[in-house]
Amino acid sequence: MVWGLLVAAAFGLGCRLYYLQIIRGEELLEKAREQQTVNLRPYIPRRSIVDDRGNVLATDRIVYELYAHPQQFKITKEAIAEKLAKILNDYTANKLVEIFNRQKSGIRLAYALPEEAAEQVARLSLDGLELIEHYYRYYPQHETFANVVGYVKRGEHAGKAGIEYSQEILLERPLFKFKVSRYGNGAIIPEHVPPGSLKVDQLKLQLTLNMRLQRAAKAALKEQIKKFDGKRGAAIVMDVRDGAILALVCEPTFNPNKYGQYDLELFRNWAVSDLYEPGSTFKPINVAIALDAKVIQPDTIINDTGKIKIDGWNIYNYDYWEDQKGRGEIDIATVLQYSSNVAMIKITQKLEKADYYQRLQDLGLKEKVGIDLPGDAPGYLKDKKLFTSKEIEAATAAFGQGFSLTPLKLIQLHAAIANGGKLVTPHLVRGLVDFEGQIHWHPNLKERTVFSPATSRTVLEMMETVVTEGSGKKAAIEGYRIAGKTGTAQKASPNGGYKPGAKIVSFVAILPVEDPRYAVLTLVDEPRKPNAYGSTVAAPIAKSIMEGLIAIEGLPPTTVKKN
Amino acid sequence: MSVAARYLVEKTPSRNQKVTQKSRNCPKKNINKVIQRDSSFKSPFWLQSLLIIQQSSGAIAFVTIAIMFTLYASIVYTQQMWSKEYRKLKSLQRQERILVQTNETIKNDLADLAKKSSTGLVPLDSQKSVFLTPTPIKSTQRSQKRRQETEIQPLKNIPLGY
Repeated sequence: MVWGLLVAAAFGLGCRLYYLQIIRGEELLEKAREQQTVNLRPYIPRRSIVDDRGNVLATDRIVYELYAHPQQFKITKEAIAEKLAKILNDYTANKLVEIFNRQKSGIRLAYALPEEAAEQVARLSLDGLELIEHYYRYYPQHETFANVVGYVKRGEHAGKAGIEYSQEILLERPLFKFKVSRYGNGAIIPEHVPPGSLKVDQLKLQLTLNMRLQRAAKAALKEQIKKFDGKRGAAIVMDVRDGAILALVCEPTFNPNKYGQYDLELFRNWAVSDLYEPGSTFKPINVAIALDAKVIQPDTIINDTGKIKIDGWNIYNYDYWEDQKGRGEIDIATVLQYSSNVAMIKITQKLEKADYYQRLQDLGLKEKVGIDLPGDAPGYLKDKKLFTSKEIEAATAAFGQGFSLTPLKLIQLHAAIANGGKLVTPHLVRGLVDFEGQIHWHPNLKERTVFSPATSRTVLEMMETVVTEGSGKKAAIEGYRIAGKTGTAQKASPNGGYKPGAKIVSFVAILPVEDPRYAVLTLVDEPRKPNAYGSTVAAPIAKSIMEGLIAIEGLPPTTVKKN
Repeated sequence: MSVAARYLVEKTPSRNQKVTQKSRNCPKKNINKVIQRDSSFKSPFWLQSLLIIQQSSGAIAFVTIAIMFTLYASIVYTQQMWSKEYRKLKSLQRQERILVQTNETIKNDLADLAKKSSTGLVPLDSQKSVFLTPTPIKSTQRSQKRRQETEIQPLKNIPLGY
């Protein structure tokens, strides 16, 4: 009897063993593996972007997508709704129940749940709720750097504008995951973790921008655009020695944390990509060309007649109609001080047209400046045949009209006047740095000489008189030697000719004259209020920016230096 | 019977043997003779070796088992420690993320707040800066510093979660 029972029990166990090992073997093995292994995803964020002092401009957050699958709920929908409503601010319990009743599975309750909230949800240990981890780009400075840094598209986690787009290779690192076994309590068994897989470098992408200066520039620009009812504006501050950009502001701009709410047009940095006719701010460049060609000397006297007829077109000085006469015999510095169109035409007429054209081309007007931002546009200069065939072409180019360039190109040319004639590459990326600020990679930048040191020094000193005695007085700062040039240019119409009443006002400044380090360019597009000129609209912005620059960079006044 | 077996038999005679010896009424000196002869018997080297091996193998087995248990325990412990440290790393990375975000958000909020005139904060300008005459700043100082900074540094082995 006992033996019979034992044999029956052994047989029963054998049958069970056969059922579990052979019949359901594969299925159970798979189930066990699923429970015993877990996907490990090392934390490999997209590199942070920092300014020149290490302030974070863009960083990665971890957020979670929360899905509900009501058909897998083990407790009532009401009970789950009650618990979730305490964590999710966007929903009430009733609303959640209503949502749960609509669909059986795959309901997305949150797209970007913060880590803390996701942890609370996970702690509920409820069946039927699913959390999916994502990286999410966060821009702590909101609009301040939007036009430079750009944004990263959600979902794809790829840059779509600005530095985020142009430096994608440096910023993004390949994500990977691997399977590891775990204990019953969830602890990982590190047996199969590939060596070094958790080790990622901590390098950040450092820009040359300065957060405080960027804010100061933005505030000054915004205020003036509002005051003169401008369409848009831009401000650029550049280190003339190497082309590093310390501030690059465009207004209006967008908030990269909410990029979906803005017009696509705002994602473009127009200071880099849009061409405009520079007007009088180009006059110092023309003077430098004429000096280098030795057709004029700094003390050459030009007869400013106030108006001049070229190829049947009358060209006037901007102030000709005040007294209907010119300024008579003036030297080159005075030409710049009063921004005389007629005198500038007479200077460029001393150059052979083909030579003038070649020299303009040598400045790289038809080339891209090489900035590390998307949309870098080459300038526009008419073809040589057309330029040299008519007198009027060179005459209009003399006062900065008839060709176009980007604001960035203009400041690059002025930087060449400031730094002794070198055409440096404007750039925003300083390199990859570690948490101690040590640099581990930096871009190789090109530079070439376009003006002689003597010429650039002479033009710079002439430009100083524009601020001390000429149209740039509003940019003067007591104790500092500042060179500058105003510009009020007509805007070209897309249909040919010029847009009536539309102008673009600008001001370019270089400081300090005794040892030039910074160039500042400010522009306001289509100011609609009266009395809007480079001197009244753009020069005060440049002054505010320079005030900030002096304080931030600790530039001592010239008077102190002399002591 | 082998020599070893005989030796053992002779050293520890069984009760039956004793009885047989008694029943045969063997003289005492004969017995003494046998014992004397046995004590003078020298076991061969290979036998001694085997005996040493037998005795030491027990000790080796014990030590090996002890090492095995220690190793096993340490492996399990290391894995648990790894798991614990991994959780710590995750937590540190999270704290770092939160710290960076909060710190930078505060900076931005403060800057926004500073724009309001009610805070009494004013923009920076040259007139509010103090420059000390006895310590003139050489304009080349920064450029030299920059040049040093721009020299590429080798990547150090930075510990995870520092």
